[in-house]
Amino acid sequence: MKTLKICAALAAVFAAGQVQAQGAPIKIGVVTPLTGTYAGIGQQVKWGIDMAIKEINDKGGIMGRKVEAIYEDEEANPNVAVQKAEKLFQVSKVDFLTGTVNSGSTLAVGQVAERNQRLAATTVSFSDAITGDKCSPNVFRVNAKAGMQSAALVEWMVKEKPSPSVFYLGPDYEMGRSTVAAFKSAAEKRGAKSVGEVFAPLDNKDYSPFFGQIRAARPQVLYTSVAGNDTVRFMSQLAEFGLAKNLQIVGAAGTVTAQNMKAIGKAADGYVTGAAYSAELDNPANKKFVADFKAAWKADPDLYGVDSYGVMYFYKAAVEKAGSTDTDKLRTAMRGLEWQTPQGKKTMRAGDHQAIQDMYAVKVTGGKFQIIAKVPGEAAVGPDTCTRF
Amino acid sequence: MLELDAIHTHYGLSHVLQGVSFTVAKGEVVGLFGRNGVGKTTLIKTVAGWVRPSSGRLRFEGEDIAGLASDRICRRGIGLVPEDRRVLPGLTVEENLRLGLMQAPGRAKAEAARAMQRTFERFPRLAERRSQMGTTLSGGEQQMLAIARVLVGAPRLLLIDEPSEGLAPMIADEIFALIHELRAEGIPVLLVEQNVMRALEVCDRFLALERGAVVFQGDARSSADRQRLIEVIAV
Amino acid sequence: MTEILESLQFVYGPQVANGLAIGVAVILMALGLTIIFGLLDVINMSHGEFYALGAYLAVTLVGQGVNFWLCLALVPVAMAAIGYFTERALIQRVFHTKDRHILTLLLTFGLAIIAEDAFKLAYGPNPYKPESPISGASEILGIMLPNYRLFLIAAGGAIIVAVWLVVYRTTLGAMVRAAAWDKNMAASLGVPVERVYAGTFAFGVALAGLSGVLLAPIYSVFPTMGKDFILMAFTVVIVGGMGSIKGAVIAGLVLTQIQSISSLFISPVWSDPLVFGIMVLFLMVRPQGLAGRLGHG
Repeated sequence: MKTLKICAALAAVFAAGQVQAQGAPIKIGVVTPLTGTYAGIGQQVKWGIDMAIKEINDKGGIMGRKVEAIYEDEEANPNVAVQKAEKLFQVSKVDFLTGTVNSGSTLAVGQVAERNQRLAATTVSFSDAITGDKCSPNVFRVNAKAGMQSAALVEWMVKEKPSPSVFYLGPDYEMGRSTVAAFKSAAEKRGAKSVGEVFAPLDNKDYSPFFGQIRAARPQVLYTSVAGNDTVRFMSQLAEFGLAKNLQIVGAAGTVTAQNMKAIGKAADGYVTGAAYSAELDNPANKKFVADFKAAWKADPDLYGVDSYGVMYFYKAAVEKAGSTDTDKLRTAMRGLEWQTPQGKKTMRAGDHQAIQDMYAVKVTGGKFQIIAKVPGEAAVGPDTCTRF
Repeated sequence: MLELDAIHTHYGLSHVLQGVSFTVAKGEVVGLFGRNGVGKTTLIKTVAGWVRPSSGRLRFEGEDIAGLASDRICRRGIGLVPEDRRVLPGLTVEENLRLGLMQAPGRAKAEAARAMQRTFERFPRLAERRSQMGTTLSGGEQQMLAIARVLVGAPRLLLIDEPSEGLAPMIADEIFALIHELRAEGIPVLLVEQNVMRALEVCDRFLALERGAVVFQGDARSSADRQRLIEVIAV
Repeated sequence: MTEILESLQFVYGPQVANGLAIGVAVILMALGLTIIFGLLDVINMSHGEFYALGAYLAVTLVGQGVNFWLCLALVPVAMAAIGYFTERALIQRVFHTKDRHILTLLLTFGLAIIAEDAFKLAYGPNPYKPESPISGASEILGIMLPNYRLFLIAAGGAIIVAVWLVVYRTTLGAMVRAAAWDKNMAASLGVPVERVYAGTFAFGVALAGLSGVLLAPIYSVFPTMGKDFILMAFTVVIVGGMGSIKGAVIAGLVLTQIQSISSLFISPVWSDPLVFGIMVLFLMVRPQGLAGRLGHG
């Protein structure tokens, strides 16, 4: 009898606890660079997440619970990211973690998530490894990976110029070389002829010593994976030497960006790259998103902003499908999940936790990226190479 | 014209000039004699502004020049012909002379050109070697150049330190003849020279320096004074 | 046969021509450095940042609607004033101390760090690039060269000759050389040594600023651009002989050609170490450089 009473009392307490938990806000930890070189990207991440949370809360939250974001500055440093992620899980007791920008931070934070038996998602990191050979059962990627970007570009290129001759120029460091190698093998599989490649030092000031080789090779297409100010010099010097005529210049995702486009000036016109997003995307959801974003932040959204906005809807859809924030239930719900974003419908592939989405070929016209072709997600995503789960 | 009153100069810890007082009047050539290390060169350097006196008064044409920078002292009208000549390397003979014109930088171009012209007329050997590097000249020619580049600036007082040092007797004669000419022109000179007997021939007066102070002043023409000078500096 | 001709026309010819344009750029940077280094005996670690400042001034002026050609005249004047002030206010304070080599080096290094951050604060991390005032490219002997680079080679050549004439053929230049060799003697001839030092520094800084304007349309403008040419310029100064204009010109032309041509045969990443290797060799075998050192015995 006594035992029963205690049991009943305990049950009541538990039930009360349950009710309380239902009312408490869902905490989202965001570990992102708010200072330093990548602060600009971190800013877009924050704008996207804040905007999505406000929309969700205005419509009653997720399963009746408000959503709240807690930010930590990781300075684009994986060591700092690990400390901040640990703090968010242990001290702030966040339910979900997102925001990491550079791939090193994402991989490191993924391990923290595994240890804490929580889930994390990246909205920015490009490295194929995150959903490839370094995949984690606790990490999801809602943005397109590097391979999808170059696959989309290859698809567009071979359609435009069947079996093109391609010259490659990349910065001489690991990421620059692997980006070129990935594009090259994808292009060759689709019939492109490689007519030469050169790797210039990082921060190379003058590219004209390579122009003789490019001219002699007479390529139809020039692929480059240089980035930042190297792009400014490379592309303006190409134009200066009159090499840009009769030559289609294409490049990696980070080659021409909002940050360096102005400095490249007219020399950027005609440049084509593969992209997972453009603010010009013509659908009602995107139009509303762009207008709201501009109204809220007085700035244009970019790829990082839209994917960080989208991750909140991914999480919301998963929690509602699972009916819980429990890690295992949530993981199951996320696998194969379909959700809507300003970029269109996305599908989370169960086998490697890589989101599948339509990709685009975009061309710089008058200082803006214009969509010139669409490549279906299934064609761009490539095979599942994750073997851990 | 030049007045030194109780000048003290230190080189680090060593107290070189210990209260030197004397004057140089308009138009006179004054010899400054003493054994090695008594502070003759330091005295010249103090007047030229290379070293700053630690105390005492240093006046030129009635104005205080103690502690002024060398270039200012030069522009006041004090020309320096230093020990070892210090012909500027990397500069031609003509450039060395041209720098001498800096003593009076406000001069009109034509006047400066005339000064150069007069100098070349007076030193025909320098004229022949005008585009040669100054340091490629012989010792005597370098000494001529060191004096000539000061003369182009028309100084009102010349400081000449050891002009005959290291020169063959015949060449030294030329230098003394030149100083003699300067005396005839009425340019005052403070002359430091090891060869006391030769120097006395071109001097009006002399000072004997010992342990950083003037111990004796005399008339260069008086044989008694000469005798005493030799005793002082030989003891 | 046609293959040989073609490789001459498309590969070696342009390589030599491009190397020439880069060589002129490097020499322009090295000139100011070698003058300050050789004549003032100051290793100006902030030379690259003065170059950057010149470029940023040009970007600012062009943004205000000022004609690029006018900038080419205005910026060096402004930079000379900045250089003069820097020398009088900062370098002069440590110049006459016993540790002047290390103190001036640290001082100018500190200035460089401050300047780089100041550029980031004032202009942000993103690059700028003024539109090239001369567009198009010309074909000379079958080699395509942008017109602006042809202008750079001509203007750079004229500047080099003008600087040489100023230093070696004017009384002003004689004053500078005299002050470098024998400060005391020069002063005793009436040379205002302190002002000559400040003026020489100002001249070197103005040259850096002028290079900044001239090279901005080719190499763009960004906070760390000061580091771009500075290693190469230091190499040229060391190999050429500190303070020697002739040496800097020869070393600048030869080293950039070696860099340019070698990048055809070895990975371009190795052409920088190759050039620095030559510098190390010179430091070991002939530390006075090609033309010998000017000033300071």
